[in-house]
Amino acid sequence: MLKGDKTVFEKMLNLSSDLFGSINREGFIVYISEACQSTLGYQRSELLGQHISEFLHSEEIERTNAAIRELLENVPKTTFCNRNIHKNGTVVYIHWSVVWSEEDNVLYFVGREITNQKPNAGLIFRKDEPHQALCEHGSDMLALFNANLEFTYSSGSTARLLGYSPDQLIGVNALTLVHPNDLPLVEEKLALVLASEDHDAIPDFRFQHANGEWRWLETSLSNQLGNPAVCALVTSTRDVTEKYLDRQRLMESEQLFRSMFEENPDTVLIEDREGVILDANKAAEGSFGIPRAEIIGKHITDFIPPDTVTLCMQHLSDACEGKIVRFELSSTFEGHGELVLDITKIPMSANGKVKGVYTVVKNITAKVNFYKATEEHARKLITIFESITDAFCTIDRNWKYTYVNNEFERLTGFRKEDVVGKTFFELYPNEGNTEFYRNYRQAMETGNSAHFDAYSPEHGNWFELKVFPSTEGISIYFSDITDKVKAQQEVKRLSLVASSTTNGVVILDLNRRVEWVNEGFTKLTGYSLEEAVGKMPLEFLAHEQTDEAGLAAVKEQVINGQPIAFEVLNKTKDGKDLWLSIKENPILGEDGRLAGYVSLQTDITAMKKYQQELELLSLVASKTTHGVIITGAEGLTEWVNEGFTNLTGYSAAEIIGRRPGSLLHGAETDQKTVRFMREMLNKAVPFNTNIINYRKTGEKVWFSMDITPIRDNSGQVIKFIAIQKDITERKEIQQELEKLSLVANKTNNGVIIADRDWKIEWVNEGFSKLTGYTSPEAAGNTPSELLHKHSQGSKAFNLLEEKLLKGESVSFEELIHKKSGEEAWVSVDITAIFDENGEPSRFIEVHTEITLLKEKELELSKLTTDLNNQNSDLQQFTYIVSHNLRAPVANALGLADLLTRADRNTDMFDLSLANLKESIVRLDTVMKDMNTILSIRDSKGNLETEDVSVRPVIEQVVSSLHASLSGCGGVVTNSIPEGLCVSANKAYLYSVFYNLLSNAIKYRSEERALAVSIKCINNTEKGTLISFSDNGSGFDLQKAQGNVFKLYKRFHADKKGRGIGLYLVRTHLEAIGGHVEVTSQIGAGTKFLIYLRKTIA
Amino acid sequence: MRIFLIDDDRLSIFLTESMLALEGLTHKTKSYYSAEEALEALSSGGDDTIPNLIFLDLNMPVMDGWAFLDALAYTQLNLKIQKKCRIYILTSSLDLSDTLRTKEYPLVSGLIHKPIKSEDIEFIFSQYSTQHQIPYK
Repeated sequence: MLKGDKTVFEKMLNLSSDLFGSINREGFIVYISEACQSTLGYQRSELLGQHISEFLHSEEIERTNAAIRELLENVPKTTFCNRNIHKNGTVVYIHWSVVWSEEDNVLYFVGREITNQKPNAGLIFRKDEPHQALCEHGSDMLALFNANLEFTYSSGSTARLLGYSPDQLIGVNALTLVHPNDLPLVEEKLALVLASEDHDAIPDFRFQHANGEWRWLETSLSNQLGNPAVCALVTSTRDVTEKYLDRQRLMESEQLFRSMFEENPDTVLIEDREGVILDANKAAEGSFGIPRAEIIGKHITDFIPPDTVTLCMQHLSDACEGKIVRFELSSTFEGHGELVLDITKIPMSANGKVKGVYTVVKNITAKVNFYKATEEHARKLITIFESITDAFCTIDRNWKYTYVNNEFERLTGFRKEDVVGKTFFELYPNEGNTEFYRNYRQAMETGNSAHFDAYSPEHGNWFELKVFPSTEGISIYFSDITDKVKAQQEVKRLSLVASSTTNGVVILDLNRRVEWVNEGFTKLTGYSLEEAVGKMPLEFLAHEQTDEAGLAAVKEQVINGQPIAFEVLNKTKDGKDLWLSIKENPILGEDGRLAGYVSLQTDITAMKKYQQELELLSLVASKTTHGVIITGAEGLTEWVNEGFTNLTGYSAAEIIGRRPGSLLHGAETDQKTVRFMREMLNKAVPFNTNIINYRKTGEKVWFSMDITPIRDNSGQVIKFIAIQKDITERKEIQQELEKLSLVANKTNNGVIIADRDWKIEWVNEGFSKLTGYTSPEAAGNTPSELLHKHSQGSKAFNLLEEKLLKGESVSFEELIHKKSGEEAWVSVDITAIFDENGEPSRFIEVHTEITLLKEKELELSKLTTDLNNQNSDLQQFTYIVSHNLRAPVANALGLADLLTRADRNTDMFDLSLANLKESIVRLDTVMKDMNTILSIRDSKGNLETEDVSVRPVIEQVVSSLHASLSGCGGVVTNSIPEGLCVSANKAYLYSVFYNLLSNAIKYRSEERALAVSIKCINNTEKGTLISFSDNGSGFDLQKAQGNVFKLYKRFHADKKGRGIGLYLVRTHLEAIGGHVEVTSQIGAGTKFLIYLRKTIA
Repeated sequence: MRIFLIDDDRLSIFLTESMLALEGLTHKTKSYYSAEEALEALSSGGDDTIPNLIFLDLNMPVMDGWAFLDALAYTQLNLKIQKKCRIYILTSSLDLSDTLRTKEYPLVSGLIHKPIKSEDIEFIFSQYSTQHQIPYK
């Protein structure tokens, strides 16, 4: 805003009769226009910075503060009237418009004095006392509101009706007390009235009572804001809460009635006294099949069959007299067929007079039909029950008899009418816990049917009862079995007698079911009485071999009433065979008719078994290919089998009655054997012998005879049984072999006869001489078990076995071990002997000793190997010489050349000279090595060896290397025992251990102190094995390949060395007949195994 | 020119170095006392470490000259060496079998008997410069 403008604006403000200004949020005046002079009598300067309470009426301070607070909190703008005090003390009414400026943080206000209008409004009600009284005490509440609907006045009746004191409401916005649901209505009406400056009424809205309750009010209001005399909205209000609630309740009860009528599932009609239908519900539309409009107004008789008209009208008139009538109407309705209707008519009265009848019609046709069907069903059931031959009754869950049939009456002697409706306990007062009651009760409780026999002392009878439970209770069928039970008891008594016999006794009924068995039967079969009763014997005794056809024939005969005896194979309960001899007799009743059967059973199993065995044996005896002879005690033939005839050619007829020997013995029959047989027969003991017999044809046969005496129970010999086997072939082979062996025995070669499984049967003297094993020692072993104990058996033979089995002889050489442990080389020839089936039956091995030959051969092959070794050594030597001897020479040559070219005064000259010298020293070393090597080589074979004690040699080595050992803190453990001697050259042995130990020191591990251990691992007559192990750096055995012990081979780049030490170890050892092996692991150590020979004495 | 000497013999190395110096070749000469060390240097360094010439001794402990050549043939170095470097065997051996065996190794350009002579050096360098078009002096 321009400054000029501001001035103009300020002028305008100050010229205005309205009061302009601003206050801060605490109510202190920031700015105020000149009008304060005219309105409130204060100079501007007097008010600036002052609080507004300076001119506020003391009663207005709080309300004004409230209005300001409200502005500050949420309302952007407000207007209100209040009272102020003029400087001269008069009250000034001012209408304020106030707005909050967030931007300026002040309240801007405009005030207009309305003193001339306002008090008049207040005066209206004060002028006239009666009017005043009406306002204060009338039932209507009078109130004035300003344009914002704030109370400016409320009459005293307000306090009475709504609980607010008149002052309490002044300045309160009336809308804040209106129920939120009714606000739209009230606001709408207000808007109308405010717009039209007219009057209107607001019906039924809720307004909050001072105690918080909602009251229903009705208000008429008149817009008098424009009327300067009033300058307010004038309202007259009445509390209509009671009226409103009454109306509400009436509406609800009408609705209830309507829905009861309308939604009733039964047809409901309202008739007048004459039967004209006044109203009908939805269900009626369905029942009559026409819309409601067409039902209403019609007479009831239009809808019912003509034959029911009289009845219906009668009931209608009854109802019209005020009675509630209910009746069933059963008739044929058009379009519906046969219907049964349940009709209720209720009179509707008003003022004590029946105005109409409320009729409810229920269709109960289906229900009625169902009932009828059930009745019909029950009748049918009863007919069935009556026709049952068993007695029958039903007992419900309360133990009441609900039904009994005629047979029940007959058996119990009770009459139906005396039983039905009574309880079981009333009928049988003494049977509280009898078998009947227990079974009934169990059936009822468990839902399982029961079947039992029981004696009723009440009736003096035995009954058989079947009880079936149902949801209603139990149904009982029963019959009188007194006669049957008595008969059974009678039989039982009789059978008591029978039960003591060991024989089985079985009583069968007419259907051949077991009625009773005795203990004898149980003992025989294992089945108890309980298990057997009611079953046919065949059902549980049947054996898979039982002759059922035979039994069927027996049954046929027995049914005709004839006694019968038969044998049958049964099975006992534990599965054993049981042969029974059975005698069965019919039992005749008093009337002479067949009543059952008694069966007597005797165990004949043992007998039967014996019999069968005998049959079996005789079958065997007659069918076997061996000959069987049975003689009497005297030796006369009683029986021979077919085998005998086949073997000897004599028929049974030819030999029976004669001594077997008389026919079979002949010229070559050994009389010694004959005498032996006779002796044994006399002694009557079983024996076996081989004998030459002659067939009928005269052919000679070898028989093996097994002869057994048979004794009777008293021990007397009654028979002899002889079994003869043809062993001619075996005997012949044996004889042939014996002859052969005689020959074999005389040769110098070793001969073995082995069976097909290579078990030695026989060896000759030559074999015993060769191997040291006698024939009995060798027998039963295989040749390889005997001769290759220490090796893997004869590999050579395994390759040849196939050939052997083809029938060819095989020959090979092998090393065998004699009994003494000595080794011997033999040449082996094996021949197989085949039986008639082409299977090998025996093997014959002939051994010839070739040890000397073999030893020579081996010597030769060793010589060749040595020559080869020497040759390769020589080649290697040449190679070494070309490398290692040449190297220092080449250096010397080069350096000499260099010296000729280098300036004598330079370092290079001096260095070259020094190096030349070193080269020549090296050359010298290699030459010395060569000398050593060559001297060892030469010594091979003609070196003088002596017994050298190992321990002192090692001690010597250790002491000579003492300086370097102690320099590195190394320790040598020498565990070689004193006096251990080997065949060696002392100097060589010294060299071996010297080289090993100096290597151990040179290649020791940097991580630990050197520890060397020298031990004797094995010491035999032949040689000594010494281990030399260190914990040094080790080397990769795989990388070194076979080069460890070769000349000038080195495996450590970081250590100086010539590569001759281990070479010397090897060559020195070899020169004294020993050898060396090595194992090593990088970082763990190296172990040498040194083999040294002993002097061979 | 970069030269590797591989020889376990200190005297031999001294001799060869001195000869190279006398021939006025003040090239970068690097000596290795074991084949393994040399192989390690070749494998771990970049292309720049690969020398133009290698004088290789045969008779060495642990890894001899042949094993060194075998090891080279099985590494990725093979191609680089073929391209850039000539290997000469420098041995004291007069064994004919060594000379014959050299033919089996395509990486080897020739065999020189110790001690190395001025003519050998001149020949090798002339050969090298002919092939690689570099003046060696």
